[in-house]
Parts: sequence; structure tokens; C-alpha cells
Amino acid sequence: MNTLPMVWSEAERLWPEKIGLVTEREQLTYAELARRIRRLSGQLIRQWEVRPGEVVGILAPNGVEFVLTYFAVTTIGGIVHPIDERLKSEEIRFLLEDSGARFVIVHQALWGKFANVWNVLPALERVIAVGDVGANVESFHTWVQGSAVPDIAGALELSPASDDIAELMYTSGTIGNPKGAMRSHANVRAASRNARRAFGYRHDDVIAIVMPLSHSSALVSQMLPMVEVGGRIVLVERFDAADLVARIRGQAVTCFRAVPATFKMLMVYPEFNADHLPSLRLLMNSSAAIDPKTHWEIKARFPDVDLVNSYGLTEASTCTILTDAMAREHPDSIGVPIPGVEMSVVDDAGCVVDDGIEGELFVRGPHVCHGYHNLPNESEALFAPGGWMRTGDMGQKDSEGLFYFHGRKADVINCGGRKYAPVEVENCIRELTEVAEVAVLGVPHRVLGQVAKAFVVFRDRASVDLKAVTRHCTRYLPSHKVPFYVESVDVLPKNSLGKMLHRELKAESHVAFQKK
Amino acid sequence: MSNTHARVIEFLSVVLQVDIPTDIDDLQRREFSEWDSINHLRLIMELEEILGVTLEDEQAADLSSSRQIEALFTKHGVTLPDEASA
Repeated sequence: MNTLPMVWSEAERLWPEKIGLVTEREQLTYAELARRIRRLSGQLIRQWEVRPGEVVGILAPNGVEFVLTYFAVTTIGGIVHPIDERLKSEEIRFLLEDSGARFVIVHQALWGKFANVWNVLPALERVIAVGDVGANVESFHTWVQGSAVPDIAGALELSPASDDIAELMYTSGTIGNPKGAMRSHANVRAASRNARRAFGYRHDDVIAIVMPLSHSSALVSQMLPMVEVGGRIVLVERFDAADLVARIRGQAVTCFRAVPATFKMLMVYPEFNADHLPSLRLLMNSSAAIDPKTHWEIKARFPDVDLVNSYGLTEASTCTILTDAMAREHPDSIGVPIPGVEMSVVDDAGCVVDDGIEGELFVRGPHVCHGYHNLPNESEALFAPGGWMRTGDMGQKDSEGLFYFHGRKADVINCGGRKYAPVEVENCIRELTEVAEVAVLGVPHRVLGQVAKAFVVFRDRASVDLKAVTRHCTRYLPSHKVPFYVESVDVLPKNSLGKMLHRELKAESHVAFQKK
Repeated sequence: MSNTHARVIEFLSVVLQVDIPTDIDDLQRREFSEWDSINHLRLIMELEEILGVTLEDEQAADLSSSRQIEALFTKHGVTLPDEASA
């Protein structure tokens, strides 16, 4: 059976005494983890009467509780709904309301944010707290501790089927409201297999999970494949560059995956180098492209460590791999599809375009999700004939089979009928040494329909020269790509993974236009 | 060549990012491919900002030479700064 419960039954059978999970407070063998998962599964059925197909939310930082909940809920055929710990109260309310969760497990560190909206979530019936929240709420630890481990799930024959939904994983909502991607047991097992093939995880690997487990990448491209190969997981509850360097050294960590911002923060520390951290063999970039300068700076410190990149979406996790060797020749590429994943570039008419021509990236494979929760129209629109999934991302393929990501399709600017991705304009503006960061989006124009507007973060206030940006673009870009508007901003809105929040930029831009 | 004329040529040169001979008598839009319809709209936007007025659509569309732009500055009594502000 291609299901999540099978992951643990196999892990417990093959290496029961091996340390599987390490946190700041404890380390647990695979057998002990399996015992706790069974106990929690039993409690979910006995105490809450969770039935197959029901949604259970988990709002917790990286910790053993998250891992136990993930596997316990899916073991009994429930649907686990990870909630990003960095969301604000109102965003948490939106997700819990949208998912229709009747049950949620909340960590004490996040209790305040949850408590703000608890009373406006009528569908939510049962809440359990991890730690002391000072309220009359059931205790997670009481549930999990104890010796009796009746295999209630097994006794009730609740084992899920591979096509049953296992996860409700919400998109980051960079261009609209987050949508709950429904991922089956088979989907997440396939995504995990993609990660194993791409990253070459080994039985003797020790992975530090720095990214939040509520994120697709941390779950299915880090935690799950590491359990499948019997490696060791070091959970990092809160990112601190110095602490992470110390834990890599102390735990002999061999690999970790992080967003570009994390790598940049680590590079501030001279100890982040191969001599000080000889156990490291693999670094994996995630969520956004790493700039070539940072890439080569990391390589200079870790010449023998593989630094790889990968492209994926919440709806189809871990699709491509860009190896070190590929990055040397094509640093701007997202790499090649992982075996088992199919990708193509398609035009608006649904036809595959030639190499070098921009179009929408399509993906096909067993890791592709089943659609969006409670959104039948969006789910239907997600898929094209032949089982292809529309990623909503623009890009192209070159003659060597490498793919390139240009930006979100929704971000494409249509200036007088001429369409282009903002990334081309952003790259042009980045050539200016005084520019630290830039984001470009389309804004309404009464004649042209849309024109480009650039939001620029300058390196220092003294170097702000908006006209210089326009002049530079006019010199190097065709007229329809030259920004009509340039605005200096202190910071660009991004989500916790460093992805630009275009909806917030658009909202700001909309307000600015209304004020005009 | 008047000072205003020279500044208008400089202004066009900066907005369109092309080298324009300073001794040109009258720069015609149709003679410069860089002065296309989209750059024309951007040019109008720059002019409106400097003049502090909103040009009528017809007036904007008819504006097709450096001499016409020069006349526009004269009409509104606005002097272009030394280094064209665009």
C-alpha cells in the first residue's frame, strides 16, 4: 500500500532502535516514535471520534508534536491540515474556516494568535493544547504519554487507501487567497520519492529541518523521505544562524534545505564553512531562486558540498533538480524534471511551444494534487486535457532540456497587447549597483491597458534616483517593458519563505492610484 | 538655436535614451523609431509632470515634433531646467 501509515510500519520494522528524531529536548528511536503515533491515533479516535476524511488542524512550530500529529491523523484516515505558525490571527481564522476543521492541535507558543479567533470559528469543536495554555483545554502530552498502546486504528480497519486525501496543504497565497491543495497518500509518497531521487538521501544522512514543517517542502521533501530511508531528523524549532551552525556541528548534520534568505544569513558567520562543518555534504535551496553571487560564495566556502536547487509547487511538490554541474553552466535555470515527473511549456491555445519560446509550465505525474478543497471551478481550471496540471508559472525550456522559471502567469504584464514577464524588467533594474531589491508589476493604464510599475529598494537613501531607473530601462529594454512608474520603498512585502507578496504590492499600488 | 530648443532636444534625448544631434532644427517623431507610440505616452506623462497640466488627448496625439514641444513650454511659460529633469 502506497500510504503514509506504511512509512512508519516499515521504519519501525527495519530500524526500531535507530535514533529517528532529535529535538532540543529529546531524541527518539523509530520504535518510540511509532509507539507514540499509535497512542495518539488511538486517542484521536477514542477521545475525539475523528472519522476517516475528517480534517484535523495542527498549529505548532517544528517539534515532535508536529511529527506525531502528522502521522497519527493520516494513520486513521484523517486529513492533516498544517497551519503556518507565522500567520497572523486573521489568516489562521481564514484557513481553519476554509478547511472546515472540527479539530485542531495548538502549541502554547501560538496559543495567543489562535485564541484571538477561536470564538469566531463555530465549526471548530475540539481543541487540544501542546504545553500549558492556562485554559481549560485538553493536554496533548497527557494523550501521548502512558504505556497502553492499543492499535485502535488497526482494530477498526481504518487504514486509508492510497488515493484518499492525506493532507490539506494551503498555498502561500502570493497572488490571492490561499487555496487548500488536496494531496492524497499516493501524492505525498510520490513527492517524497521525487525528493529521494533528486537529492540522493541516504540511510546515514542527518538532516536539519530548518523550514517550518507546515511547509510542503519541509514535509514531503525533507521529513518524509528521511523517514523512508531511515535517516535522522534534527528539528530546528526556531531559526537562529549561530544556533544552526552549532547544531550542524554538534549533531554532525549532513544536509539541510533552506530559502535563499537563510543561506544569506548563514553566510554572515565565518564558521559557516567546510572546515568548521565537515559533516555537511548537501545543501538544498528552496522556494525562490538563489542569486548567482550567493551561490558562488557558498560554493567557495563548501567546494565539495553539493548545492542544488529545485522547482516545485504546493500542488506538485519537487518537480525538478538543478545540480551543481548544471548550475555552473545555467545558473538561472530551475533544472530538469526528476525521473517520474513530466513537464512541458504550453501556449495560450494549449499547444506545446518550441524550445526557447516562453509559455506556461505544465506538470504531470503521480505527485500532482487532486485539486483544491471546496473550490470546484478552480480545481477544474487547474487541469488541462491529458492529466496535465497548469502551474500558473511562465517559463521556457532550452534545447538541452533545462527549464527556466520566469514568474507567475497572473503577473504577466499586457502592455497594449504585448505580453511579458516582470522578471525581465526586474533583472534589468538589478543591474544598477544602487538597487538592492526590485519588484515589478502591471498597473492599469487607460490607453495601454497595463504598464509596468517598479518598486525599488535602494541601498541607501542618498542613492535614490527614480529617473535613473527609467533611463536605464529605456536604454536596454523595448518601450513596452519600460516602467511608467518607479517608486522607492523601504522594504518589499514577502511571505515567510521569502516569496514576493504581489497581492500586497498590488493593493498598495491600487491605493496609490486612488490617491492620485 | 534658442536655449529652450536645446533643452527640449536634451529632454527628448533623455526620455527616449537616444543620441540626438544638438544642431538639429526640428526633430520629427516619424523620423525616430525610438519615439514610438508607447514612448510617446511616457513622454506625455513626463511633460504633464513638468508643466503641471493634463494635456487633452487630441493635443497629446498631435504633439509630434520638438518644435511643438518647445511651443508648449512657451505657451505655459515654463522653462525646462538646465539638465532635463527626465
